[in-house]
Amino acid sequence: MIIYLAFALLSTLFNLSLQYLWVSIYNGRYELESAILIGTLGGFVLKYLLDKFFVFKRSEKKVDIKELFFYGFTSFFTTIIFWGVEWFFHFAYESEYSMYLGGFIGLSIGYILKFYLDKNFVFNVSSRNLNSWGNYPKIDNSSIEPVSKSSLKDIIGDHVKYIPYGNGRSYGDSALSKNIIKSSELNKFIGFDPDSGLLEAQAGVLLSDIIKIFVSKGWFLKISPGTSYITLGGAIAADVHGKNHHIDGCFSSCLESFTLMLANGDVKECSRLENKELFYATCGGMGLTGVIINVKIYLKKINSKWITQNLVSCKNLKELFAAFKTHQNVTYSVAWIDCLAKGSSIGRSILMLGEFGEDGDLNYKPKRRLNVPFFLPSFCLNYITIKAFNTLYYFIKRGKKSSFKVSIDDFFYPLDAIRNWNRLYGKNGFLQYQFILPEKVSYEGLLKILTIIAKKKKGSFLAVLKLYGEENENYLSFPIKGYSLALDFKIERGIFELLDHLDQIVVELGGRIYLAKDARMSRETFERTYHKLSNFRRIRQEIDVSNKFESLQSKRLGL
Amino acid sequence: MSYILILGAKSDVAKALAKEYAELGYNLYLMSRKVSDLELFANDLKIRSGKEVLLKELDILKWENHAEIYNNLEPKPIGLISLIGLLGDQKIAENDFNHALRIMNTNFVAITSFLEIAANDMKEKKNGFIVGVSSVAGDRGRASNYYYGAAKSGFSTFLSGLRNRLNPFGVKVLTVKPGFMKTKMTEDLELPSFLTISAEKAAHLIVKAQKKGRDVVYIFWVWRWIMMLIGNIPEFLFKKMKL
Ligand SMILES: Cc1cc2nc3c(=O)[nH]c(=O)nc-3n(C[C@H](O)[C@H](O)[C@H](O)COP(=O)(O)OP(=O)(O)OC[C@H]3O[C@@H](n4cnc5c(N)ncnc54)[C@H](O)[C@@H]3O)c2cc1C
Ligand SMILES: NC(=O)c1ccc[n+]([C@@H]2O[C@H](COP(=O)([O-])OP(=O)(O)OC[C@H]3O[C@@H](n4cnc5c(N)ncnc54)[C@H](OP(=O)(O)O)[C@@H]3O)[C@@H](O)[C@H]2O)c1
Repeated sequence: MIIYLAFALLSTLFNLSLQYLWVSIYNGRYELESAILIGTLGGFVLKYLLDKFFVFKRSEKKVDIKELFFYGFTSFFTTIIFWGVEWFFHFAYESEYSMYLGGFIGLSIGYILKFYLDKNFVFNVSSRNLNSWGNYPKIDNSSIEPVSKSSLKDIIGDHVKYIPYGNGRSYGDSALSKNIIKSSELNKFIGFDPDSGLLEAQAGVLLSDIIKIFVSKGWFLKISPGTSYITLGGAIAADVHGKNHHIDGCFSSCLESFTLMLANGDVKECSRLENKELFYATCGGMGLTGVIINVKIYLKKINSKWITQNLVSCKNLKELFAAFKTHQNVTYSVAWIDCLAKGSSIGRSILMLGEFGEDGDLNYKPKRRLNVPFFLPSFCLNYITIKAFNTLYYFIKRGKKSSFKVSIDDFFYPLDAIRNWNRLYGKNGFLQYQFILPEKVSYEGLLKILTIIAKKKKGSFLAVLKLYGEENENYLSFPIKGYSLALDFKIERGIFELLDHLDQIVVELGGRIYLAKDARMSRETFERTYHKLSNFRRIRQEIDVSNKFESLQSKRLGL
Repeated sequence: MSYILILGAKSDVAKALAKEYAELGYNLYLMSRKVSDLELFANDLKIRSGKEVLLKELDILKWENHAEIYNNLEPKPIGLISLIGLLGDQKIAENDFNHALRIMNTNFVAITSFLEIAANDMKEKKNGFIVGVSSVAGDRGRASNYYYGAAKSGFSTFLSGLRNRLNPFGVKVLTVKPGFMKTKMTEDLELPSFLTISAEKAAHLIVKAQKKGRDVVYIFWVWRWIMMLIGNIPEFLFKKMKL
């Protein structure tokens, strides 16, 4: 930023000296006009080049016409602001100094704005590195996209450590490393058997594609998380869960088998019958056992694209727990909690319940999506805006009819309606904190944690509470029987200390933290809460992959 | 629903075209050498679109087989798009006539054999379209690739004549002249990014031109003007230039 302003000054000087030079060699009729034109053009080109190569450090030497055009456009736009402010001061205060003051303020606003515009739109600095959904942590990385099994094998043959990357919907650092293998080109459907509902596809296929194709044929995912923009590989590696975990379990429960490329390039077929330890390690194994290539999952038969939804509003945590118990046989359930509510309203929430309809209407079209085109300054999300949103949301939902029909997209993927909503949290990113507590201590623990959060005023939109069923056999799967809460926290001062404190409570109560969301837990917390960790470490050693697959997370947690 | 036949189906542009036409509701015949390499692609497209995607082996240089291959198609396609092309190596071609011949046969001679067979069928039915992907390289011969250019030039001229012949019968012929496209043919070349488009974009423009019933289309539009400029450089200057 400072360099940017220095360059701004430099090019202004250059502009003026060009004008001066020009005037000294040319004395024609259009002296002033031509001088301004030449000076401005010269200054513009100089600044463009300086910005391009020194501030935003673009490596390619080509001058891109489109880039130049947008750059010119942001210049024009910010100049208008500069002039406008100067003009305003001039007329508002009518003294010469105020005009210069106005010019100074206008120019500053203009340049700061232009800096952000150039950074985000013109040179697109942020897009070169892959990030996770929380945009924290950040790491310089280079990624490579194999197009086939054999190109994947060539890549893995390098003497470089990699981590697989699906669609970057994990919040933390599980898919981040210096070198990344991106599965986006391994996105082919291989086969579907309409008798059994068995689907075979490559690991880079997105759940949203499966939905797009199969809902109209009467099939849906048996297990789906709260976003459809994840890959099959990511679904297996995090052993994701959905609103029906208490009934149907994790993603691995619809998984028949998959093929996995190991560190030496060998491909192993893994299922509960064949290489079963590798199967248990890979489901929930956060990409650390190898690269998942082909996947076979079972889909679920549906008779409608509609979900019948019931909303139950609960005044506090006690009511919510009672409601979860009452409705524990409903297939889909999740509660949204206003985590900023205090005192007797702690746990004020809406429990959303749903079952697929039976009306035979399968005429499904994916919903159109809005976009957040750039990172908002992070101060936009603060205690007041979040509090207002949460309160409003609660009262709107409470006022709704209690039972009605909603679409698959609205019910399962409300957040998918807005592309890039994570940018609302600003450039510095955010953390999602998701923990689970054993059923017996859930109420007491949640009350404690919600009280702390409300007191610290560090809440988030849409904290999500869910009931979970039995734990499965996988070594690192997150769910245990009990309740889990997920909250978003903007990265800001004090947040890491707060979460460390919450970790302690979670550990003491016998709970754990979800790896797919984590970017910060300590190795000690991790080791004390994942009881089958030793199995996982043993398998990693046996198949000898520690020198091939690592993520920031695996290094932090000693996986 | 009707079938569309794509020749040179392993080209990135061909794959993007296949996706577009499947999305529009057409079934597909995909032809290329070692067509089994396309099985994964075809299966995926079949599942995504719900359309038929059939693979057929074709080496365009074996023209003795063309008639049989075409006649075996049932039903016959209502449209044919050829992406077949071979950039070859000009330097080698200058010293090895076999290589030169291969460039000329692949880009021009052999394709005409196949297109003529399809054209006759469409003419009979008074319905159908043919899209030939030629190149701006055919608009003027340059030292760097004149075998390729000459062959593409011949192909463009052939398409123009074919269009003329089939016009009374309602069969459309579209000549596509791409400038630079980012594909596996050009993956090792440094192309100026503002003159280059992706295979997907190119395919989209081709489909649009075909739907509109255009005759000759440059991909993308700047190339029409660039080639106009290049075409108007006097020969005594042009021969001294390095392009
Ligand atoms: C809005 C939103 C809602 C969410 N809701 C839920 C929810 O309800 N329940 C839930 O469980 N999760 C939820 N998640 C988390 C998300 O489902 C998981 O983080 C998932 O793993 C992301 O998949 P991805 O394809 O984006 O993979 P990435 O985020 O790119 O990677 C995640 C992990 O998978 C590994 N991986 C990816 N591809 C492969 C492969 N081919 N082979 C081996 N390893 C691979 C990576 O190494 C990494 O460890 C949510 C996320 C978002 C953004
Ligand atoms: N890329 C550009 O910048 C550019 C510019 C102008 C024009 N073009 C033209 O656009 C078309 C598509 O090109 P592209 O860039 O996608 O290149 P490409 O991938 O090389 O496509 C050419 C296709 O022709 C096939 N082919 C070559 N010889 C054949 C033969 N004897 N029999 C059957 N098929 C044969 C190739 O098959 P294999 O895969 O089996 O080799 C390949 O699929 C070509 O006609 C090309 O000349 C390209």
